[in-house]
Amino acid sequence: MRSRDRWQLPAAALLAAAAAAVWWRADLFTMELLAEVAILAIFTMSLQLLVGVTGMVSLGHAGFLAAGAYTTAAATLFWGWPPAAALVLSVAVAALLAAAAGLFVIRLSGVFFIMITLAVGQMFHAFFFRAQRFGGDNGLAGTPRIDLAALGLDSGAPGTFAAFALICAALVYLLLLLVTRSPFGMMLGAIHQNESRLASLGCPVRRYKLAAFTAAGAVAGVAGALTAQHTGFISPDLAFWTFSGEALIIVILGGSGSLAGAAAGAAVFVLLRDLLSSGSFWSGLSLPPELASHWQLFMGMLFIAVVLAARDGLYGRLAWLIEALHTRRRARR
Amino acid sequence: MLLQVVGIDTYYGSSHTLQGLSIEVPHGSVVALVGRNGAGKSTTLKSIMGVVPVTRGTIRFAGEEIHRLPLHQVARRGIAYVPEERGIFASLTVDEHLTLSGRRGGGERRFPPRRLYATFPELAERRRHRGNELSGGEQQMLAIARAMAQEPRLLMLDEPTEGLAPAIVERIGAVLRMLRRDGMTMLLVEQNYPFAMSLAERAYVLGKGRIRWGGTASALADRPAVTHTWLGV
Repeated sequence: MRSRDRWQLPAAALLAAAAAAVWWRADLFTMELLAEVAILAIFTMSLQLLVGVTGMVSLGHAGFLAAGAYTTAAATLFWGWPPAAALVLSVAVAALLAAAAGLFVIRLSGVFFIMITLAVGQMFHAFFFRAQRFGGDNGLAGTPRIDLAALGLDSGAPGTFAAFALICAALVYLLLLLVTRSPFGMMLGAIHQNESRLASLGCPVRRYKLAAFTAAGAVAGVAGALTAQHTGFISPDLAFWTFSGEALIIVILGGSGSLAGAAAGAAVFVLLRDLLSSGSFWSGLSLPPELASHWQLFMGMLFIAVVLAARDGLYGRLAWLIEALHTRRRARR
Repeated sequence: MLLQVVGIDTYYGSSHTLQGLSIEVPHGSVVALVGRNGAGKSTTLKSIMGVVPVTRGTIRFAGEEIHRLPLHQVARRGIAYVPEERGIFASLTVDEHLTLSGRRGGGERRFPPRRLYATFPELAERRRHRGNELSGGEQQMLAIARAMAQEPRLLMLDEPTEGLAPAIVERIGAVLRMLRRDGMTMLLVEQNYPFAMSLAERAYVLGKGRIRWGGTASALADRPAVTHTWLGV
């Protein structure tokens, strides 16, 4: 029996249907949130490939997202490339940088891997912070969005861009699902469970880990390119380790090992942040609206509660619940 | 000689586990490593495989020095290792386990999946089940089948009968005897002394990280002083 795995596609379909329903009735602000959710979901799914599938916990993954964002900004603003071509270039650059960094980092494991990826991410941050060509700590503004005029669409409209970002997220999900269910994905899962055992079967484990690290970096590059297009402004903060940490929390919240869980975690994170940082939410609860400025504190408390109550994340709990209901129904028959 | 281990030293932290250990495994033979708990039997297999590093001495396999090779390269030279804990992947099916190790090299296979399933019909019935859904005996059979799927020149087994019911031990014994008839070279670590002696042609007795005795299995039966001192039988 495939147990939990069999709920992956239904969960993803449910998530996609929810996103489509929200998009259908959304106002302009909600469209912006939807685009943010979609882009963050792409990023967290790429991290899921490393953390949940292969067992490589990275605290520097945001570096590759930032590399993708800066590549898109540089290609469109400095060289006049169309945003679509810049997106492709962003993926290639992020993949290349991930492969170069991966050559070194995959030699380590456990806490040493976490530390070296943290250092790699911070190197990206330091580079963009100092690089005056890229605006230094002021960042870069004015990255254009993809041109969809050929389809009769205006990507400048929040609804159009949100739909574009959601379609990209769905495509990334399907691509990563294919990867995780391929023989390559099976090897990554085996590496997660027992790396040394797999190596003793003759599997070149490091090559597989490098391929996973590169693929995850490439997908983070997609998220970076879309981030630059979405906000039109990028800064070195995109590479800062706290963003990698946030993505890691989202992956754990959503359910380690599940792509749909990582995407759902991104949605929950953005929506909660929006809710908890709104003064009217606290006023509605008859509490001082100043609490909104402490939203990270409440978010942290919520995460602790989720981790304590559901160690396998939201997806894991949901799958467990459905399994339990199934078993009960079968027992009644 | 297929495998030559010459004067190896291995440490676990500050513990000097193997001390100048030397053994030889001829082509097509079954060699048993016997000894009490903590004698260094499993460490010997791990050292040959490269799971634990060797600090001194050499290990030659088919004339090539292998003790500095990474783990997967040792396996690719033709050494399959069935560890004591079996190393079954919980999330992979029986079918998937057999493809993990059966994807290299061209030419005709000695152990295609069809033959493996004929050897272990219990596994054929459960080919779509995951590793964590198998019993201890089925897991051991799968570990041996997976090692056979590697098409090895040397099969190393660490305590293959540990914790198994007598009926399963008999099944495992029958499969290993079949492999011996087939000409498979095997290095067997076993605490079950009668089981080891029923299979092996040669034996080494280990005690406190050193070889205490080496010779033919039949000669060991005539050395009660050795078996009493180092094996407690």
